[in-house]
Formats: sequence, C-alpha cells, structure tokens
Amino acid sequence: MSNQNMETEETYYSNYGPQGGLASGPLKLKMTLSGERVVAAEPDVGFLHRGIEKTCEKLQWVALPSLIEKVDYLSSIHGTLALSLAVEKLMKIEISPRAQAIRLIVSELNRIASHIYFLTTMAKACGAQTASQFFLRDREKINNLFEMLTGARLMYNYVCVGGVMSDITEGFIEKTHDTIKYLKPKLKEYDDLLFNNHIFTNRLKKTGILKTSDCISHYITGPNARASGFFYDVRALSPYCGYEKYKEFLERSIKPVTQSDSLDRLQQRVLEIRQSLEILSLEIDRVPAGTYKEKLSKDGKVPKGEAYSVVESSRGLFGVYVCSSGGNVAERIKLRTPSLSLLKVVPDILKGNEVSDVPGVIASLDISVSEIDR
Amino acid sequence: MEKELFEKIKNRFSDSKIELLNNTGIAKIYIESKDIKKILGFVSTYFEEKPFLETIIARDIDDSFSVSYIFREKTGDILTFETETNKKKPELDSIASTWPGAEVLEREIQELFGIVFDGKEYTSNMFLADQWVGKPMKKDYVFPEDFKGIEHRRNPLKKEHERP
Amino acid sequence: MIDLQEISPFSYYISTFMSENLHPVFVLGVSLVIYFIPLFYLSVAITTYMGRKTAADVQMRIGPNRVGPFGIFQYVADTLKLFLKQDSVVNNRKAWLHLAGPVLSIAFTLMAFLSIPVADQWYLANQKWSLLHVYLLMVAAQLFLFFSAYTSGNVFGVLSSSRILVAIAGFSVPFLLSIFNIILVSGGSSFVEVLAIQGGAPWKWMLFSYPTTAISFFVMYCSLLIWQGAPPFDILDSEEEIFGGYSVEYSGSRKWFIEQLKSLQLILSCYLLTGLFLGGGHFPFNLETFGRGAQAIQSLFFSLKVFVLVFISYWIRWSLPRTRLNQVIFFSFKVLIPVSIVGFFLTTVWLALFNGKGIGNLL
Repeated sequence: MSNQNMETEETYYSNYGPQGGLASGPLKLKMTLSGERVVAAEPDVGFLHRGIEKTCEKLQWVALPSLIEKVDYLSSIHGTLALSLAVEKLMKIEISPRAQAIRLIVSELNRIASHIYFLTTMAKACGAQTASQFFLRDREKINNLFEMLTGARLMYNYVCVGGVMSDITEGFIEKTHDTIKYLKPKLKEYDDLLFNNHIFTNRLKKTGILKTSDCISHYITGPNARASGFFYDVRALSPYCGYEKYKEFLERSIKPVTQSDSLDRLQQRVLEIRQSLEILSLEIDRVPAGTYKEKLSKDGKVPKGEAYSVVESSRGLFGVYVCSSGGNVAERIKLRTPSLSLLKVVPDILKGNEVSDVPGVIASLDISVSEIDR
Repeated sequence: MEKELFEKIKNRFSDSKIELLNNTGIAKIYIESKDIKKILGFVSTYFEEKPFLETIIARDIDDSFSVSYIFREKTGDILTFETETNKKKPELDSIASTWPGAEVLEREIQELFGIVFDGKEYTSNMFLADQWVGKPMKKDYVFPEDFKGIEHRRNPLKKEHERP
Repeated sequence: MIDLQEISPFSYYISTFMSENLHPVFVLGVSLVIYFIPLFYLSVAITTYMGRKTAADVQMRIGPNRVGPFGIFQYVADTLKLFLKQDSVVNNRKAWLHLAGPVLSIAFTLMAFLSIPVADQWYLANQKWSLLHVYLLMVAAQLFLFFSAYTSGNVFGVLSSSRILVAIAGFSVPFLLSIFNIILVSGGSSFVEVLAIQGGAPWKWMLFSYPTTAISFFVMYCSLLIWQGAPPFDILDSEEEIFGGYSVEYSGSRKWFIEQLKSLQLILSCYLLTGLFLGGGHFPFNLETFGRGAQAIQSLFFSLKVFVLVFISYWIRWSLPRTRLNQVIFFSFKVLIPVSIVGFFLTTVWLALFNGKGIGNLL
C-alpha cells in the first residue's frame, strides 16, 4: 500500500467523535480513511452553542463579564480583560496604574495555567498518563494562588469595568514568589519527561504540519503561528496594560522557519511558560500604590457609541466589539475568537497523517471548542 | 491613515457613494453594498501586503442590516468598512475568494441573521440544530415554545403530566 | 507424570472417592472450585490490585482503599458490578465469533499454563516439544481475539484487528529465535528439560549462567510485551486513538472477560520468563528434610519470582508513553531480530569454548 496508490484505494468513513476527543470540548471530525491513513477530514462544530451573543443583549453591563469569561473558560481573565478595555474606551475613563499592574500579573498567571493544561492533554494524547498527572499537580499551585486572590479556581470573575474587583490580599506576593521558585526548576523536569524521551519525540515529529503561508492567509495567531514563523503578538504590536516595556523581550522569540509540526508547537508553549515566568518575576515586585477600581456612576449606563479592543489570550488574538445605545443594557456584543480561524485549516493539517497521530495533532493545536461555538 | 485611503478610494471610484464617518468612536468608511467587490478588491492590492480580515460584524438596525468589515494592517492599525442591506431581501457579495477566512464568518452570519452571501445558501447549519426555524439574532425573533415537541422551559403553573 | 498418592494422599483420597461415588459432572464442578479458582481468579485479583497500587504510587495518589482493608477486595467489587450490568449484543450475522472470542482466548491462554512446572513434579503436561506447543497456543489466543475484533461490526474493531495481526507477526520471530537459543543451550525442548539444567543459586540460572542468553531474555521480554498488547506497545486497544478498538463493543460480563484476559496474559508471560530464565522453583538450599513439603516451598518460591517480574512490568507500564504502529514494527523487525540472531551466534561460540558448561558448572 504505497503512497502513490492512495487515491485509487478503497476508502471508508470513520468518526473522531464528539465525546472522548482531546480538544477541550466536543469536536467531531468526519474522517475518510484508507487503511490507517487519513485522506480527508471535515470538522463539525456546534455542540456547545449557547447563544452567548444573543444573551448579552438582555443583560446589564455589570453582569456581562461573568458571561464572557465562560466563552473560553481556560483563559477567562483575557476574555473579561478585552471586554473591560472596550467598555472603558466607550466610557472614556483612565485606569489607575495599580489596577493595570494587577491586571498584567493575573493575565500572565492565567496564561501559564492554560499552557500547563495544554501539556496535560498533549501527554495524555500520546499515552503517557503519569506525565499528565505530574503536570496537573503543578497547575494546582497556580489554582491555589488564584483562590487566595479571587476565591475561585477556574472562572475568577475578577477583572471588571474600572479595574479589578478587589485588592491584592495579604501574603499573595510572597506566595507568588514561592510559586515562581517552584515552577522554574520544573521546566527542566518537563524537558526530561517530554523532550528527552525518544518514543515521545518520534511520535510527534513530522505530523500535523502547519505552514506559514496558511497562517498568513487565514490569519491564525497565537503560539500556533509563532511556532510556524509568523510572529504576531498583540502584547508587542499594540500593547495594553503596561506591556510596553516587554516589547523587545517578547520579540526575541521570532523564528525563521516556514512550517511547524506538533513537536514545534509543544516547544513553543513551553518557551512561553518560561517567558511568562520572567515577566511575572519582574512585575510582582513593583506594583505601584493607588486605587484598584475607579468609581463609576450609579445608574450603570454607558454612553452611546462603539468600541473594539483586542487582547492576546493564550490561544491567539481575542477581540471584543461593543455597541451601546446609551442605556444600561448592551445593544450588540461581538466576540472575535482565535480558534475560529483554525477550522478551515484543520483538514489540510490532518491530511496524510495516520489515525494514531490524530489525537496528538488535535491536542497540539490547542483548539478550544467553547470559543468556536460561543 | 484612513484619510489617505479614503481620498484614494474616493478619487478612483468617484461615481459611488462613499463617506467617512467618525461619530461613534470608530472611524469607518461607508460604502454601498453593490461596490463591495470593487472597493475591497482595490484595498487588498493597495497596501504592500494584503491586510488581515479580522472579523465581520452584522447588526440589526431598525430598517436594515448593517455589516462591518474590520481589517488589520501589518503595522497594527484598524480599517473599518460598513455597508447596509435591506431586510426584505438581504444579499451581499462574498469576499471569500480574496480572504479565505471570510467563509466561516459569512456562514455564521447567514445562519444567525439570514443574509445570503453570493447567492449561496448552506443546507446544513453549523451552530444551530439542523432543523431550526427562524434567525435568532434578529431583533424581532420570538423564542419558540418547543423544538420537535420538546418544550424549552418549565412552566411552574402547569401540571406535570397534563394530557391534551 | 504426577504420582498423586505420593505427593498428597489427601487429594488422592478425595479424587478417588469422588470419581467412584459421584457423578462426573459433580466431580468436574468441585475440581473447578478447588483447582481452578486460585489460578483463574485469585491470581488476577492479586495482580490487578498490585497494578493499581503501583500506578497510584507512581502518580502520587492513593489507589483503592475503600473496599476492604487497604482496598484488597476491589476486584471482587469490580466483578460483581460488571456481572450485574446489561450485556448489549451486536446484531450481526457472524455474531457468534464476536461473542465467543474472549472466552476462547482465555481458554487457550489457560492451556498454556499446564506445561510449565511450578515445582519439580508439579506439572500437568510434559510433551516433547512443549516450548513450541506453548508458542502455538499463544498465537491461537490472539487469533481468536482477531476474529472477534474483525466481526464486531464497528470501524474501530476493524482498525484494531489489523493491529492484532501486526502484534502476532511482530512477536513471533523474535520469540522463536530466543526459544531456539534456549534449546541450543539446554539440549531439550520441553520445560522440564530446560528446568533440569538450572539450579537454585542465581549463578546457576539460565540468565546468569550463560551470559549470552541474557540477550534472549531481553528479546523475549520485549516480544512478550508486543504479544500482550501491554504498554508501551498497547496499540491493540488504545483509548485515545481508536476509541477502545475491539473492547468498545463489550459490556457486562464480556468486558470482565477482556480484563481477565489481559491479566492472565501478563501472568503467563512472567511464568514463561521465570521458568526459562530464572530457574523456576529451584531453591538455593537443600530441601530433603521437608519431604513432600519441598514441592510446596518450591511453588512458593516460583510465585515470588513471578511476583517480582509482574511488579517490574507494571513499573515499566506506567512510565512510558505509547508507541505508534510503525515504531512497533520497526522495533520488532529491525532491532529485536538482528539482536537475537547475534545472541544465537554468540551462544554457539560460548558453547564451543567452554564445552557446553555454564558459569554455574565452571565455578
């Protein structure tokens, strides 16, 4: 069964079902297989459509962040941050430096937690269950930090219009220092568990190839694109919340490659965990004094107008468009999510791979189905 | 940046109605729905590199649908174009041939609003259930009572096993 | 052959009493209870408990600890639960093959236990070529699993069935080459003859006595892993890639049969390795004083060695990721076969140099 005869072979239809898959959510792939090779794959989404954009037109402005953070629950800080930045543009208020610094710290912590969860899914896709348990143990430290600060472990409800909901609690800064000191040598352990393991790297090499030209024509952003050679980072290109000082630091990860496979995307995210730990260790010591939340008017009305703002979430460029008609209920909210652009590229990535590679490729793309479906 | 582009487009397509609006907080270039292919085709070749299509936003204003295209240039600036189409027969040209990422966005708008792009109606729904009746994002949409005989909400005043 | 009256007059009395006075079916039932349950059920219960506790230790959590003290009755609870569940049956013309597959697989695996002597005189079959007989039974066990996977009426079952064929092909040649290596050294081709040349002390085992057969120990261990479909080669039914393969169609008691099969195959592999390489039940010190109790002590020692090998297997199982299909084929054909052929020739050189004696005999 050589490669040249692939099109004349008999093909059969199989399913990578909505349940049991390794994307974080129900994603159905209708695969046409020939032997054990994938000839065509078509993604089917919509199992998690909750009508968030329609529901937002009934809620008052203060209730919006708690709904928007459920769009991508693994990086909920970034979602609410984008919404808050857009509404603050409409209301034309300035955020105090202390709130900006706290927002930066929390978004970097959230990025680390999301990438560690990505490592768990990656290890599970290749059958290394012990490694995935080790990664979850490290993610618990970050969950404990968040519980100390906000009271919740996954959906924090912390960033709101005007700043953040509450101030830094006592002992948070010391505990963050301890967590950073704990996580830095763990990155070496991840290297031993993952990249020095012959079976693991041979499984992932040369599978799931994503080209730079595809990234540019479909506007794929985030760690997927940065691993493929298309450097697009909102924190460097249009900075917000105090990221201006880290522009050169973030641009150090530009790579002159033309395509990436699953292993490159995995390495890119481990590199980003390292970057985030560096930024955190610099920022946590110099949080300026001030208020943590601006005083807003009591009637909860937002002046008439439109605004659009973007944020770098752990999967790419996350944008929120807000249109207000002057009342205390939103008129139109539109979410631009990064995983939606991947849908058209997934068939090309999967073609030619074997059935055993499909979980690894889907896990390495870090698709969040709740983002696509909203 | 937008003023330059606006002047260039106005000079080139002087017979179409083009305006520069800036009263809502985002600077937009308003074009007619029949000129979409011409003008957006010109925009894709005007810059050194084709700008990225970020998102397509559809809104239900009282008498018509308003569709906005948000592009992003290589430098990081935003370009917004806005068109209108009437509610009785909502039709627009598709830009999926130049920007492949527009296909999924247009399909979503066709499902939720009812605007048909390039005369092509999709048979199966991407987000909604396959036999869903109605376009949910319209302002005059009434939530249905049931879907294929299964009720959507529990009415506490009704008895549990009420026979018709 | 066993002389039952000499080994254990009590069981001799019971068996003659039963066969003279009771209906044969009743005799069969009682023998099933006395001889069958310890091998079939108790061993699997102990090994699955050990496997779950080892996994929990490696992953830094506590394993089963609720059912019974320290969770030792967990397997009984699992058995009861699976037997009380609904057994949904596939509606297929060739359904009998699909339903009978696991049972026939277990039958052939159990038959292979009969030829391995647990102590000097405790064996139930001593054919002249029992090593190859065991090989054929192992192939037949996986072959019936292949039939049941192929007729399962499910795409994932068909994908799994081609992988079972790959497993059979990949384990055969290295396994047979290691067996030939052992036959070369021992001069005989049945388990009893292989055990006769091994002694009790470690330097008298096949593994250390003829160092070139250590190569065939490694080759046989890897090929047995491929045969079972155990991690790191668990391509037969992997949860993520082919959604369970052939085992996704089974529910209820048949799922229990599949779990039993996996543990029994693991125990069989460790029995083979102990009998061939680790000296079987031979005790280092003299056991003449115990008389007939010597056999029991030897069988306990045999179980201890099997235990250690099972523990090491579980240790490896929970540490490594899963290999892909082409990596398994590559490993079997391009690594194991050349290594075992090299070991074969090195053994001939050793035998020629030392006149057929091992380290245990030279010292």
